[in-house]
Amino acid sequence: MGDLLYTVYGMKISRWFWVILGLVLLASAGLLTASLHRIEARVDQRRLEAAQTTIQQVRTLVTTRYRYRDVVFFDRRTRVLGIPAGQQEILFSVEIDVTAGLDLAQGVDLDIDPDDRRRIYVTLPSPHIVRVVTDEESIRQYLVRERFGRLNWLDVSTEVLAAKERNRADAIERGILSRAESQARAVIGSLLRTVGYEAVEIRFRPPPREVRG
Amino acid sequence: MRRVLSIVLAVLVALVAGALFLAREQVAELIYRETVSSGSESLFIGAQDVAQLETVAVVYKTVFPHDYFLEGARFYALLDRVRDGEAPAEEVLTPAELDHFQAVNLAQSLGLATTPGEPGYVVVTSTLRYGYDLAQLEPHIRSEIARTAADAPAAVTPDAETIPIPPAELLSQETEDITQDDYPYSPVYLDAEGWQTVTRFISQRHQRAQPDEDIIDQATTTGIELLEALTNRSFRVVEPTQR
Repeated sequence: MGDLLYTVYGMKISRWFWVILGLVLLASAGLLTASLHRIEARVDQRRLEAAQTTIQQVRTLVTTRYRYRDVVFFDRRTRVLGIPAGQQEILFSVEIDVTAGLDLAQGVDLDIDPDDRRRIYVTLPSPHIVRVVTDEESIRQYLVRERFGRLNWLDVSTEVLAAKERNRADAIERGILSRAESQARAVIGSLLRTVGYEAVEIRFRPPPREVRG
Repeated sequence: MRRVLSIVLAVLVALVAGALFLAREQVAELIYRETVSSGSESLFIGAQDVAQLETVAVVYKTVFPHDYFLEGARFYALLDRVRDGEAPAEEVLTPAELDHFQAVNLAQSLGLATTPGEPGYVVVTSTLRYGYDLAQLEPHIRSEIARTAADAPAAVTPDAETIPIPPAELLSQETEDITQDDYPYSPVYLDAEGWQTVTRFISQRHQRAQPDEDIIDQATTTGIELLEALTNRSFRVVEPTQR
């Protein structure tokens, strides 16, 4: 009879205590993991909410575009104890545009000849590289290999960025800025003649000097 | 004897531990090694002359596919309606339902989230530029001036009356490249084609959307300011049907 008081389903109450304690600990661990997951999700949600739409006023005259085709290669291999444990490899081509033009926000000066109202002198800002843009529509993927792990586009696009920088330098070397200048001269000259001026003289301000710290 | 052995053993353990500590980087490399090789080669294709006066840039951040999920919509219910319908999905579903349906379809094929709250997303930054294509605007200005000249020939001087021009329009659209340094979100497990598919999906929807009137107004006002600054003439906006 005494044994019945101290056992439940044939197990001593003291042992039941440890079983219950174990279950409580397991449940707590589960709850903790779930709540941590929720916190992470909330943090992520806040980051996403920070994503917004912005409207910027620009005053740019785009005059020239140079187009490049880049073949990009990326290969990551991992080994654990010398044994191959993963590979992410990709080879693709993409076209990149280097665009040049004038930032008209820097100011445009017009001087009309007081003796001849149909003659105008224009001073424009010097041309610069406006932007370098990847054309996603032109992507052509030749091969992709994903073994034990997925390819992260963030790693691959670092190589695309390097290609963009190289193209920017090449475009300058190939004379994109002087072409942008002559095209700006042609565009503005034609526009001014269209609105009634007969003689148009266009000059460009020297580019601002690069400040080196 | 046992004591001597214990001392020798302790010294050996200490030596091994010390050696492991000193060569920890080599040991770690033996256990786990990662090598990355990458590169690219460029080919100049050609040059193009353009004449675009950009006046407004609108930057959109889109969370794909979540921004296209329609509250209360269920993918399989939409699928049933498309299957049961005799017309194509574009006619059976509303534009918002179609976006939801196509976004889930695409997300599923790319291994991204298919329901709200699920992980697996991409944040895409797109820039839409508005303004005037001067190559198209100039013939318009020329014909307006010619029309004025026909009505009143004396009016065609640089100081003549205002020139009517159409409202500004969408000139270009581009997607910002993302890298580890400027992308504070989760990794983007997509290959080049996956990235292309997602950006195409978003670009098509931006192009399809009716441009915000305020944006067009702002782009037109700035365009007129710039044209006036460039030509010393006055411009005013007219809707294409207006004369």
